[in-house]
Amino acid sequence: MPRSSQVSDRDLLRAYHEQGDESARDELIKRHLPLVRALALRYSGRGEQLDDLVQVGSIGLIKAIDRFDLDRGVQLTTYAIPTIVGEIKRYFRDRTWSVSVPRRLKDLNLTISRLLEELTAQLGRSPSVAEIAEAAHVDEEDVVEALESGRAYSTVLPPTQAREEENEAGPDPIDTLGSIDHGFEVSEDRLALASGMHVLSKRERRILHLRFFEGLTQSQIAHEIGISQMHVSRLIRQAIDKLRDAIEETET
Amino acid sequence: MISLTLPGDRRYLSTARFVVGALSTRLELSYEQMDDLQLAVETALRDLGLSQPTVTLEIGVEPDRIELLVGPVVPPDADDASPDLTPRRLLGSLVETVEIVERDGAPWIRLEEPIASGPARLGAT
Repeated sequence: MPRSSQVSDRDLLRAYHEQGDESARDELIKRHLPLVRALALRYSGRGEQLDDLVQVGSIGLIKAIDRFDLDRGVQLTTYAIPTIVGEIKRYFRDRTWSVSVPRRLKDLNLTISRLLEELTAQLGRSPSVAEIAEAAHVDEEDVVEALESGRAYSTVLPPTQAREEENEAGPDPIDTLGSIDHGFEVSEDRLALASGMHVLSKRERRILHLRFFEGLTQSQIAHEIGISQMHVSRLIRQAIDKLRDAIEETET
Repeated sequence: MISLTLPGDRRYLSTARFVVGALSTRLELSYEQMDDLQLAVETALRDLGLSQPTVTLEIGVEPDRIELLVGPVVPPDADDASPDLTPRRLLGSLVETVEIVERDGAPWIRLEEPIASGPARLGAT
């Protein structure tokens, strides 16, 4: 039976969460579909159908309703908007990666990553693109293109897949450290004040700290952490993108 | 000088990165320096310039330095002591000079980075 629009969101949420009233859940979904559509509209015109984005955004709305904590003193919309936007962005990330990077560029990217380490050790400095191209037996333009594809990879890869592929390189060295450097501990507290930093992993926070607060170069960080230089580059971009997304969602 | 005017839309960021990457290759910059310049340009465009309908990237090369101008922009917070990872801090870590300049009454951001001498540099043989 349709409910009066005078019944508040909170009452409906209470009916659903405390009494298992599915019709209250349905009413909440129906009530907030215009919000989903409005948010989806902002992301339309990027090659995806509006209806598809509304459908994806609706999943975000349902998640928000299902996960809403009645003890938190916030409105449902406050909680739902970042969840809906997050689902839409995830959809774009997944779709973009699947269609945009040819296999040969993915393979070349891996080759470049390996050569970058070898040449840096051999030359005692960061190699030029020409040197990487010569070692990889490809044109310089191919190297630039493959590096760019790697950047697309780092920014659009679904988080679960990124974690799986990171794990292929072995355990995160940060997680294997037996002690915490005191200076880092102090500075990490300071960093934690920065808006959005909570969305980053411990390793991402450390890498950003070393690069942008301590002034270490990528190769110095790679040496310090025990991962490849290209991986450092990829993690820096990934972390910055996460921060941007978090800040944008907060501002929405 | 290279000049690239893009719509204020993040989908065009890769175009700017490609241009900086190609130029860095021509200048025989190291991978690391190229990566830093690309991230600096991306930061200037994305965090400061994309709210504009169009944003322009101009790149000039001198024998000892590369200069990148992005504008019009929303000027970044000038507080260097901020504990946040602000666009200003990011840019300041990636290139040697970051300053706001005025062009036709609008703020632009100017980035400058010294480059080591190399035989394949533009204009040098």
